[in-house]
Amino acid sequence: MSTDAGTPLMRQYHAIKRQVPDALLMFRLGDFYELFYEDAVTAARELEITLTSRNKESGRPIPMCGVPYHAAESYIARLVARGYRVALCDQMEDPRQARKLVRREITRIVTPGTATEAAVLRSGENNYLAAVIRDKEHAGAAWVDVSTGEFRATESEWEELRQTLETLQPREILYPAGREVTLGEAGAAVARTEREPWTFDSEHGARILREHYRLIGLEGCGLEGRPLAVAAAGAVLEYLRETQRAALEHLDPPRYFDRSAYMRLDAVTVRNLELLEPLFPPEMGGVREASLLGVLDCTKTGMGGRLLRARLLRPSLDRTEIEARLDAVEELLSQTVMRGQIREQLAGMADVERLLARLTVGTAGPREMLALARSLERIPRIKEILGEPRSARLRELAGRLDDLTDVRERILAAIHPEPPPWRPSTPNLPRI
Amino acid sequence: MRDVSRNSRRYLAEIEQRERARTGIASLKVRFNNVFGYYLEVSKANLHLVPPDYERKQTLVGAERFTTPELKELEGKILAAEERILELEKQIFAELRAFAAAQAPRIRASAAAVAELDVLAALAQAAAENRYRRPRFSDSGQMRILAGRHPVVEKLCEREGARYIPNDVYLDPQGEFIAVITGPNMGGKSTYLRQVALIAILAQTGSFVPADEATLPLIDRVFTRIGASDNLARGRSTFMVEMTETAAILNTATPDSLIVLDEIGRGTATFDGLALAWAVVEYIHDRLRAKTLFATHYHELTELAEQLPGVRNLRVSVKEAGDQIIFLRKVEPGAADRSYGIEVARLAGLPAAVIERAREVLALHEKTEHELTEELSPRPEPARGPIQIRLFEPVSHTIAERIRKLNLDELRPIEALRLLAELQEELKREL
Repeated sequence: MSTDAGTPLMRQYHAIKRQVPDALLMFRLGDFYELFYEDAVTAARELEITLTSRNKESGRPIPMCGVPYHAAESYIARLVARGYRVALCDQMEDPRQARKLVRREITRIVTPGTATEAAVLRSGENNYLAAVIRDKEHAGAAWVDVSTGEFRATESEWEELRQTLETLQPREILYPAGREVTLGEAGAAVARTEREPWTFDSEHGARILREHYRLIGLEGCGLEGRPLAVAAAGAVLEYLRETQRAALEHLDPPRYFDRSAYMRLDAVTVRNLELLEPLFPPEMGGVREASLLGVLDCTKTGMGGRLLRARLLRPSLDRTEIEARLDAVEELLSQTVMRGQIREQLAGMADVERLLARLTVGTAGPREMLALARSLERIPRIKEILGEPRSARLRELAGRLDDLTDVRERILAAIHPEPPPWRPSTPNLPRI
Repeated sequence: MRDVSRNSRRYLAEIEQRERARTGIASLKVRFNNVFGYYLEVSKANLHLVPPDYERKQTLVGAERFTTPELKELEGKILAAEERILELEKQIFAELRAFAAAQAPRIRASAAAVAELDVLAALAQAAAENRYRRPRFSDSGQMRILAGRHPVVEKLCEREGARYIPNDVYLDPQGEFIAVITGPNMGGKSTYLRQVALIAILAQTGSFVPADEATLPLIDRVFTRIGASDNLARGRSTFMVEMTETAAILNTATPDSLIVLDEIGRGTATFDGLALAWAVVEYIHDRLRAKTLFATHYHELTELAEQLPGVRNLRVSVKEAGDQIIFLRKVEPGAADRSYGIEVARLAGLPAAVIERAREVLALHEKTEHELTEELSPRPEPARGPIQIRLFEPVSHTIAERIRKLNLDELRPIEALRLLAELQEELKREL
């Protein structure tokens, strides 16, 4: 590493950069996130921003570029969408109060599989991060959607697991060094991240899962006696702790995924039958909505959209479950007025899962908090519209709808009805 | 503090008014910028009116900027208040965020219920808009769909003002559970195949289905092997892809599976493609017993229905109206009339001599092919002499002999493929 920039600031930069050699380091300097050296060259090219340099006088200029901190999210999103990892380094104390060099630390690493930025995510689709460990013909996998909190783990024969992963279409796959796994063509565009093998140790995994969720054992998750699933789930959690460096309370405990409970559809069939998208994309003369999902998806919320998509990919094999769903659909079909009113309320709801995730990991502010509370206001109204439904499933759902009055009221009491736009978490607030 | 912050504008306006009155400078303004904070701006023309307690901060081309002790004090108060407010807001928000995070499991549970309600209401909405009906599930394993439609193609038809032709399906594990579908391309074979698979998937998703009536078995797995065109675009060896996918199907399907095969064997030369398709149907019939829909342009395969009790023939119907062939897209029992291609050619105005000769060649081909398929029958009938395909080069007796001696009951699919590859090699050498 060059020593030509021997100022205290650049020494701090290098020390931090060494922690994240494979990520683009966005280094907070006042009102800007700056990138240096190769990172600057890459970012300037990808973001089409001006590449300048620092330290010109010394004759050894350092390439540099920067983005204003308040607009950083969209730049980060663009880099991540292109498969880069971005490390955010923030100022940990108020520069006015710092005696000498401001203390700086990495606060978050954004990767394709861990992004919660609205600009990276597609509303009706999950954004999965998966970890895969293969032991000859047996394999374990875990996947998490940080933007919603869903967390699953499974183990099975490798071939079967591969098919499960192909239909999940994760954005990023973690694997232990030296044991890279290859998916079919569906896996070609996925970001692949090599991890140290100890992060896939199943005992380590069991320990950190128990710690994180304050569990005595993993039976409740259905993971007891499934070491490969535990290893993969542990690897996911370890990676999230490293990259998010924030609370992860919104993450569900990992639940065991039992593929035999579902009709199996491999990636080839999903494509052939045009379940999610047309075989021929619009640029090849196809019609965009010409897929089963396109015809069927009149859901009103992002959460509903994602659930419908998941159900189409994994139809049930449980006749009782199917009949329960059909009973509910039949009731909603005949109750035209009720259906219309429910859908009207749903249309006014934001993507609660994603708002909650962004609030928990710290990428959202008062506006999002307020949107969450306003969405929760719809829940009691929906319950009222549902009334006393006939079908068991609708009754059960009505019961599961929690008014969350306390949560809503506390938020509404604390936040101004028209909050200012959020400034990403940072200790040095701008002057008026 | 809040008072200071909220009323700062009013205080500043008051100062402005007061200073205007005191100095008599009507254009005096109180302004703010990030470098100098709050200041009083006085234009050049009025400078002589500035009182001595004004302190000069900055000189511009047309004006000068001043401050006063009062303004300085107010500025200090405002800034301190703003800063404190921001700090408090941050703290309150952090607490609120911690509170929301602690409530995350409850919020997520409610969100999950909302998501499911959204899905169920959407499915009801789709059912209402598209006239879907509730499917029933049978214990007998029968699949019976009356007037089924393809949910997507139906929509596209609607958009173009065309009428979608509904079709029935009947598959019975105790009777005929394999349908071989023949007929012209463009006739709607692929749509028919897919619509059956889509109806099964929709039903098990918990949705109503596009059919007047549907009684369905629970399907554990849907397999598809459809066309080669999309793989061509990906630049892969079509035949290899096709065989890999077919192998996966033959190795994993169960009697509860639904297999949809569209034109397998197309990626290779006529004879081995036909041979493979034939062997695949037999294997499904004898071993897997999975419900199967098999669309093919190999007319020869319609003979399977005569040999295997579980196979029936379906065809997509074509009607000739004057000088036009109309694809009725109606699927009906029976094998397709194979001369439709020649009919199309005739209607297109090919010389009569060509049409005539084509009919002769076809008849010849049909004859040899019939002999061929008789031979291929695995039923215990005495061999009737060597296979001959007179239309082409004579086929080696040794190859025919090897095929005849095969014990298909013991042949694994992968071995069958390997054997076929060998046979193909030999044939190529001989030609």
